[in-house]
Amino acid sequence: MHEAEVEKAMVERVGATGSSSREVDADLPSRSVHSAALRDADNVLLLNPPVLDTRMHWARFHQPTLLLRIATHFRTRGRDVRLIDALDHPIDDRLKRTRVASLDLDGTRINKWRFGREGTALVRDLRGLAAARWSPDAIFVACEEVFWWEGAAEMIATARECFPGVTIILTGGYAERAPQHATDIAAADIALSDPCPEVSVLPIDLSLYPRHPRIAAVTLGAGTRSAAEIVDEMVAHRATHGIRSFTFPEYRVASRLPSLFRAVLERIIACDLRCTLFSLGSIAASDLIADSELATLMRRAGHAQVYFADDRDEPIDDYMTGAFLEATRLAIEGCHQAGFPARTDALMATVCLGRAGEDLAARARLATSVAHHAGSVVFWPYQPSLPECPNVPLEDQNGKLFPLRTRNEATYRTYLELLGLTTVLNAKYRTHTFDFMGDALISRMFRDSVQRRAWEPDPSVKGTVLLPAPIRRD
Amino acid sequence: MTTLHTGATFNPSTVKPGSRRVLLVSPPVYDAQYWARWSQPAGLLRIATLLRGRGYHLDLLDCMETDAKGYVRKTQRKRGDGSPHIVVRDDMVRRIWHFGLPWDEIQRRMNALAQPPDEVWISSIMTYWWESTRDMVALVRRLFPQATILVGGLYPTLAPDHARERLGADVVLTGELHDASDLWTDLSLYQTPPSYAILTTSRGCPWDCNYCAARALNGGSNKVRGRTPEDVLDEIEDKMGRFGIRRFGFYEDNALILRGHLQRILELILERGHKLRLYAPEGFETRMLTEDLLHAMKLAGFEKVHLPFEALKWETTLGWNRRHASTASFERAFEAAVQAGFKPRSEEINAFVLFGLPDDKLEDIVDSALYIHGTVGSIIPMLFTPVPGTHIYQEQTAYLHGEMGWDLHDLNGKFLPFLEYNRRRYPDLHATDYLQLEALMSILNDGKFLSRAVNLCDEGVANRAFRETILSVI
Repeated sequence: MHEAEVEKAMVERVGATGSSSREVDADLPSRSVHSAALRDADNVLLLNPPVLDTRMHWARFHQPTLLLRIATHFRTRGRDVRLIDALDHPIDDRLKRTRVASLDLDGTRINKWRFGREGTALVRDLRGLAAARWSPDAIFVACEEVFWWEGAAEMIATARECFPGVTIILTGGYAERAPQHATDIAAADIALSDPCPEVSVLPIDLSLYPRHPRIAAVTLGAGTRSAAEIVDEMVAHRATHGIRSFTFPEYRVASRLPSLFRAVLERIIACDLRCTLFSLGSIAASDLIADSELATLMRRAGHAQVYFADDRDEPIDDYMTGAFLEATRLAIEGCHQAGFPARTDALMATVCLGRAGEDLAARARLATSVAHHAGSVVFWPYQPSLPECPNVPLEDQNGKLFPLRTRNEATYRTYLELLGLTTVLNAKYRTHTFDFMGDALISRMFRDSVQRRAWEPDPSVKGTVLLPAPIRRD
Repeated sequence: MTTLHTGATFNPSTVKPGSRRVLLVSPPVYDAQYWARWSQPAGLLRIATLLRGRGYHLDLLDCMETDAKGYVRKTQRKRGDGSPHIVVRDDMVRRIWHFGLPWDEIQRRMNALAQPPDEVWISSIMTYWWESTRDMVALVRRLFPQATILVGGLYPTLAPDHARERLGADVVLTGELHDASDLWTDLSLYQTPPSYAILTTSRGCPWDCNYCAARALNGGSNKVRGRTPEDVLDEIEDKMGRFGIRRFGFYEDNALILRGHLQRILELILERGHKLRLYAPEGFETRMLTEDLLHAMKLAGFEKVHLPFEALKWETTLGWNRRHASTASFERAFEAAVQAGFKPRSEEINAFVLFGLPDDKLEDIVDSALYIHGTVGSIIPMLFTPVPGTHIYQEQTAYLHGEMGWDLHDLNGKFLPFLEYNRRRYPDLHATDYLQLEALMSILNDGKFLSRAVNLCDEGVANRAFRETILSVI
């Protein structure tokens, strides 16, 4: 699509989504103000807000891809674009966090953290722009998850304080799924559900970061880009920023776009890109069974770590659970044949946890069996949709808090027990996990020991606290 | 010509201040693994105090000095042909590293001394590390041909004939240098003051466990002798004042046999209001650990307690001549530790499990590991090393040196010296089974969630399901 058309589509979308916003609903002329602000914006500020959550998975892989595409859109039009990413941190350092609350979940207390750069640092950055006589005409804030809205609200408030009067456009999953909340509570001027499909075909712009990122996300989006375009983007990232690690972060993208995914891998191999690839839920076990060459292609393309997609899309019944386990077994077998090392963190099976109607013991049994085949397993919290959680505050709809737990008559503590079990199943000794269900001598002895309930020994074997007579040495 | 002296009678003469120069050396280590914590050469540093008091000018070369993060350097040890030095045991391959300063750096530092030493005192610790002591003697001999070379420490004490024949030193010292036994360690020899100090407040043990060399190290005596608690406090305060040290590690044979000795030291620490971090990584006899003592330990700054559990079954401990140790007394000590405020399942309470001995019953070791996992939560796997001077070594000399033809460096527990021996009971036993045993203990220990060790033995939904699942394959 031509740049002008993209711009036009974007402006139209602002108007369309804006109809649900507090200002635009009441005052149609203001919609055109926003549209004009976008169209005429010479200076664009992109803000990736901090995250308030109990845990932040995959922080090193996190990249605000939507904002970075918007950056590409504006920069190709010659606009001055600036980025402040509250989650940006050196890949070798831990993401900063400060405790903001202690949640009481059925009597279990758990810390809620604010991940990202401190508020004072963000204010300093924003004021630094103003001090340098740079002022945005439009501000985009991205927030991927509804339950992360508090970070977005904080970012919006900070931006508004530093740049009063500038239109603030909230985009991403939060704006898409809860636009009313986004404008009423987080106080965005516009909740932009999706800038426009055309933005999703743009490459991400990583040049806005103060230092070269070490990793870049590769998205296939709606499948409108060709494999050549996608791999060209990777080649460009490597040439421009020296990036050698790439993630595939889109859930089940290999199931959704199998031909394109395969073509991307083949092109990576053909280009001899020599990169390290990480799949974060983008591949399901069934994809590897459907395409018996896929594991080999993935390995040859440079996959170092594969987090398989979980079983959230499967019905919760014994038959489907058995089918999922068998698919995992076959997929892992194929991966081993393709050269992925067994029982390391190269292959991580995932099991969905947190759906209504699930039996937690059955989930634990499935995870244990999956770990036997895959070597490692993680529970992937089920993220319910808004209608599944009526009357639950948005921030508490976080899948990691298992908001549907009461429907399963389970407490948060029980869910923690399941997460705890996976820490044992995934614990490594010299990079390898232990196979509790394996045929090796010690695995068999461990099971015998469990069967004997060795942790409750017969008192007769414990000896005495009294000092017995000395033993004669001959 | 090497002469053998016992430390009891060896008495360095007093010299005119500064007229004789002594270089004190703690040599590097050749091993597959090295635990750098609490590795200060305390004996050598006590001798430093003695020699300084007698007028000697001292230099220290501690090849195992840790960096600011607590690590020592490691470089690959190579054979004469440049190939990596590896140890192959059955189906296990271990790479051998040179831990500590490399030889060229050692030589550079020796050449940088203001004047060549008149005497070089080398401490040698583990009997299976004797080769680096030999190499150190050779280097010193080449660089300082006029110097008298003395070697002391555990290795020459436990294997004096081996040391005399194999090291090429002028003097081999066996046993304690009595005049130095109760002296304080001299930490002023370090350019960067250490962050911790080792305290030895007592020596000797009344027991004579089959695998322990304490009796041999104490000249065959079972007498326990201690320093005065006031002297220990003076040493602590001296190190606090001069070096800012707040971390102290107690290294004792069996201090609790001296009734009230440790308790009084702790009381003095509390009376004087010192804020310390105290450790006893080798543990205390469980029979003597009362709630009062553990409470005092907690108040005085012990963050962890280590309990020498060793084995679950009374018949096993009796077989090791450990009639003073039993699971019954362990349980009492464990409960007392909990009452005193040490948290189970958090590494505040730790228990050693011993394995790798001749006549190992692997089933019992797995039972022991599972028992500790279920009660304490934190297992410390201890691979047994046959040490000259112990009963087991004496009993197994024909097997170790005759049948297997091994030298002392082959008896490193990490190389599983009793693997072949134990095939008499388990014909299919392999080295990797021992690695799996260690892996099991390590993994049971590593499974943690929210800072607490997961308990696979509890009756929670997840762990019960785990047990049911793994038992389904029996």
